[in-house]
Amino acid sequence: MGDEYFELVGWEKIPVEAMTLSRAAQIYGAVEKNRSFETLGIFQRRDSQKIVAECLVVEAHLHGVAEKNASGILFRERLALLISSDDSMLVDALAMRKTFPRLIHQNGVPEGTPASLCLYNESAAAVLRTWTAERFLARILWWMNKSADGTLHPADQPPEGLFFAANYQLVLPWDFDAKALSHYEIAAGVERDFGGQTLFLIRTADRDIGHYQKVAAIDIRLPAVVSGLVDFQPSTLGQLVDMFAARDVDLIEHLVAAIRTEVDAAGTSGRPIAYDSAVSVLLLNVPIRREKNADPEAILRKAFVVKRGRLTLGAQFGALLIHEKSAYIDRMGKIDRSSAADWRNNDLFGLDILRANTRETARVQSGITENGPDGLILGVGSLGSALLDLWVRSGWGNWAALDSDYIRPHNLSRHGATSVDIGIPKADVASRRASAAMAGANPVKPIVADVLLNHGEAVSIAAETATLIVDVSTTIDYPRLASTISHLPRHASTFLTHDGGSAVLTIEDAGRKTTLLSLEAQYYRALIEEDWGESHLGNQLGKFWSGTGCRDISNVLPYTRILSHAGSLGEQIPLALKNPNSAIKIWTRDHDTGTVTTRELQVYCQISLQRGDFTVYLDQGLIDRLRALRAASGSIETGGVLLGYYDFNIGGIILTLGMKAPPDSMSTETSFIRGKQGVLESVQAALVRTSGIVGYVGEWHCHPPGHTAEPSTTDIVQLGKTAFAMAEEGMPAITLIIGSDDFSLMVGDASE
Amino acid sequence: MAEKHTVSFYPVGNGDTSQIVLHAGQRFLFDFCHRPNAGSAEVPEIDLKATLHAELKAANKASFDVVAFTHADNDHICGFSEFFNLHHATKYQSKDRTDIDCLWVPAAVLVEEATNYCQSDEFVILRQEARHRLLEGKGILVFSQPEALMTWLRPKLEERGLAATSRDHLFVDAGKLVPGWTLANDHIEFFVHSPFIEHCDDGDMIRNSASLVLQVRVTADGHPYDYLEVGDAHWEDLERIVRTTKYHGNLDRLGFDIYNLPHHCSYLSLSDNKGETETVPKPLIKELLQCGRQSSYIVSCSKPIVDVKESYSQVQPPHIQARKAYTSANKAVNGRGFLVTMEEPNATRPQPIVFELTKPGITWKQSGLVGGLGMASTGSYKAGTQN
Repeated sequence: MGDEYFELVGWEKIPVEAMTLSRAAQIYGAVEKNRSFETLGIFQRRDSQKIVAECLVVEAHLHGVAEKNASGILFRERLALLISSDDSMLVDALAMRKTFPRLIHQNGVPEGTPASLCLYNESAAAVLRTWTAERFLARILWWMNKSADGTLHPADQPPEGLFFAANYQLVLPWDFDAKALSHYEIAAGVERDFGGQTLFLIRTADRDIGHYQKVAAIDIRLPAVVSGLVDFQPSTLGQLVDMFAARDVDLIEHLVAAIRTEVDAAGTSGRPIAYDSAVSVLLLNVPIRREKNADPEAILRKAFVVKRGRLTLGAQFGALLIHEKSAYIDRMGKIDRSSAADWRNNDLFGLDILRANTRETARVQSGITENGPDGLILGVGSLGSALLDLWVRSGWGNWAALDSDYIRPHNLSRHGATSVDIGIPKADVASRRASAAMAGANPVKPIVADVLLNHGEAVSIAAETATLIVDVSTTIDYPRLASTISHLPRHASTFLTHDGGSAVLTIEDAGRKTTLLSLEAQYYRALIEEDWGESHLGNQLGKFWSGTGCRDISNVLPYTRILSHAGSLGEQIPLALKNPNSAIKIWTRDHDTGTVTTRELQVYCQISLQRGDFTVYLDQGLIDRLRALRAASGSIETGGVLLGYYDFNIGGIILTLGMKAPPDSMSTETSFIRGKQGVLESVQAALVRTSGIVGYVGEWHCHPPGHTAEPSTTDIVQLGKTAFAMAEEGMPAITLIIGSDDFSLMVGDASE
Repeated sequence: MAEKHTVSFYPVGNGDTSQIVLHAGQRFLFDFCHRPNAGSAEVPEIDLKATLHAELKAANKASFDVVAFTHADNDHICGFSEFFNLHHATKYQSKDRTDIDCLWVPAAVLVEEATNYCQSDEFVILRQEARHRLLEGKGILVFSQPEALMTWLRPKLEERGLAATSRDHLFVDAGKLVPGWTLANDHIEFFVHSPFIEHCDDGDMIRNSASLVLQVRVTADGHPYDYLEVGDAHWEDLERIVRTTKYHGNLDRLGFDIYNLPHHCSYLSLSDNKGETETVPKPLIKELLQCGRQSSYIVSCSKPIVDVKESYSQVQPPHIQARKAYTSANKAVNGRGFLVTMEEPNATRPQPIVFELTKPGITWKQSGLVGGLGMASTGSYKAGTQN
């Protein structure tokens, strides 16, 4: 073939016995055993008599490489395996054939030196953990095989860049595409100790901090090229133009056109060169195809900094004419394409382009496919702000945050805010944090308001714009209030129990037939009926004073538990939203082991009845249970105490549960006298289990088979007696009667 | 999707089993050698039955399109009667067995009497199966149509009330393409080099000489590749094939990208003289080896061939002198190498050698089953306190 190979310069050829580095000896041994490799020579390099490296030059027989592979790798390739005396460094594999192709997954090396195979995508430490000479050789064969058939770069991985990676990056704003023609400045980040620096392209109108150097961003859209060939970083504009010429792209034409467009906009008065910037950034946009004739898969961007303004650059090309300190289009001008042209010598500084996340890219990175709701989150305290942070960063939803509170020092032990946020309303802090996280791509609208005092405003905002309201206010007031307002969007409400042991989520059905208010009552019923309800709300870690006011008392609650539940809820709320039905879900965490158990309660339809000034709320689950007790008692009447609670803020009486008849009750086919055995204890237990919310609100009984729920005279008299008793606390009383196929409900109010 | 065919060689010791699998799924198996203890911890030979079963299952196939036995020596048919569904007797039939859509055998398999020194029960079973299929008139092709066979066949056909010519379509002569498979439709064709009729009719039939010798040509996206499958032919047989092929101006029918060398790397397939260090091939054999194309492979279906002093005086194949001759010949045509089935990736746990044929060229994807994965892939770990 007459192939020419690079020579090792500065290396001394040595016999096998003179090898000193153990890794070199291991590789030599592995090569001798491996029929796909043949040793051609062994070399050593010294620095002041100290051996710094050894090298095996080998011929690899690449059986996995097809003769006519598109990459241009040959069956026999000469490789230099460079082993450093520093065992923390990887062994380099250099392809010594001068015509070895430039391929993706090579390390950046100066032009005119052997190609360096990029064998690993892990750090040296990670590779060396399991590195052996045998595996190293196998890795070389793998690299060659994969490179030859074009599969080293996975099919689902974006096409490779046109240039080897630079250690300097330019971050474009997330909305650069939409606003490419704005004026930009460059902000330089810190120079990293280990090399490199990140720069930021900032719209002039958006800047508020930092030191800037004015630049002109010249946005150049180029025709599509085929991925695969990776170039070295060009150091002059001439080299860059040549590299694109090799890909059949006339960069000059596009560059000049972009400059002319700018000057053209100035009309006949020309563009004063005093406005010219000292520096230009050439932003190259190159559509990349995986193969010839394939559709472009991605737009590849690369930036080059030129220390020249666009007007003087245009003049250098011969595209602009400078006359009396203004630049004009030079209609007669001829572009100088000669190899001696001045513009070719402009120094270039290459920058890799990074993009600030958009909502869409954040979702892709998070594995989320839905856009999420237009949401309003009520309460951005500890749990609310954590949830909002998760959703904003992952691009799920478009949020407004409502809270009237502000950050205090003690909040920082369980809130993402920092000390600079102390004294700032929590809603504003949430908005700032979102801006900081997403650079404006997913803004959070702050509403500093009390949802109850200013609910008119909150409600109007929500009703007009939101498709979901997530209540994390950790009060029961807003959920109940919202349940009475029919035109609001779907609600979810979530809170943690006092000790952070459980997270509770209630979510309304999409049609809001069963609201948060009813879900709350059904949740209480489960607490009273089921064993786990005994300790669910009861555990507390303690309290502490966070200020001097009577209300400045907070629960002891570690941030770890909040974030742990926020992680679950952040994932589960979007899932629950996909289901149009209402739901009550509880996640309970065992703090000793970290185990989380899940409980989902059956949800029943809400029933609302208007009785005078009161609205009585109950649900089908309550009626079903009473019917079951009725059926169990056969032909004789039965009944019991009715549990529930009052909320005068919403004019509501909420029924939770009818207890079964005490054992000392007296029943006949036409009468029922409720006994008292165990009743007080049961009512008190219900109060304890529900943190003092659910208590006695009246009585229920059934009518015998064949009878309706129409109240008898006795029933009406009894309601009066009950109402008088309840009036001792100023409360109305309820009588609920279950008939054969119906039920009736009376409210007796003797308080006035 | 790029068209990809494979040619596989299975490590079955000094024995032959190779398979062509077309991109479209058709499978052609050449010879079958599963020795009784293959796959056990005691021997390195692969468990061929389990391997082929697994391959068929993975491909969702219940049969081979073609199973060709180049000749009936034990190292080419060993264990076949326990693996395949045979039509001639129910005791060879079960759902666990694998079907042969079409059986290819040289005429010698049907003619030969079971008196040869290397006769075996399995040879008789193969003869019975081939005769049964021929009489039934389906699922078989017989290579060459010697009078000795027709003498047996004619009365049988007569008994069935059939014309003596009623099975003629099931015979294929040397110098012809095997009917039913075309490059245009199937991207594969088979050129028959041997056996010649006289192999079976000269009264002293030598099984190796009457072997099936084929050039298999496949095209991958239009690019042709040739696989030369030569059974156990001796140098005289091969010289005769070369001479005949040259005479007919068919030299390209001797070209190969993969050469399944004959008789487990025996020097007798190159010359009558082993040579001290390297066998010198007879002139026509040399010409044959020069038909190897650039990037071609030569494969020896044999035990490992180590280059130590003792090897040079070894009587039984494989012969180190022959290996050197083949290696030299392969280098001379800028081939990719000489491979031994029982050496890849190592002699203790050999794995099938699988070549991939695609338009850009032929590649050999070396087995990754080395080290821990190699151990895990075989049952060669043995522990115990007693021998």
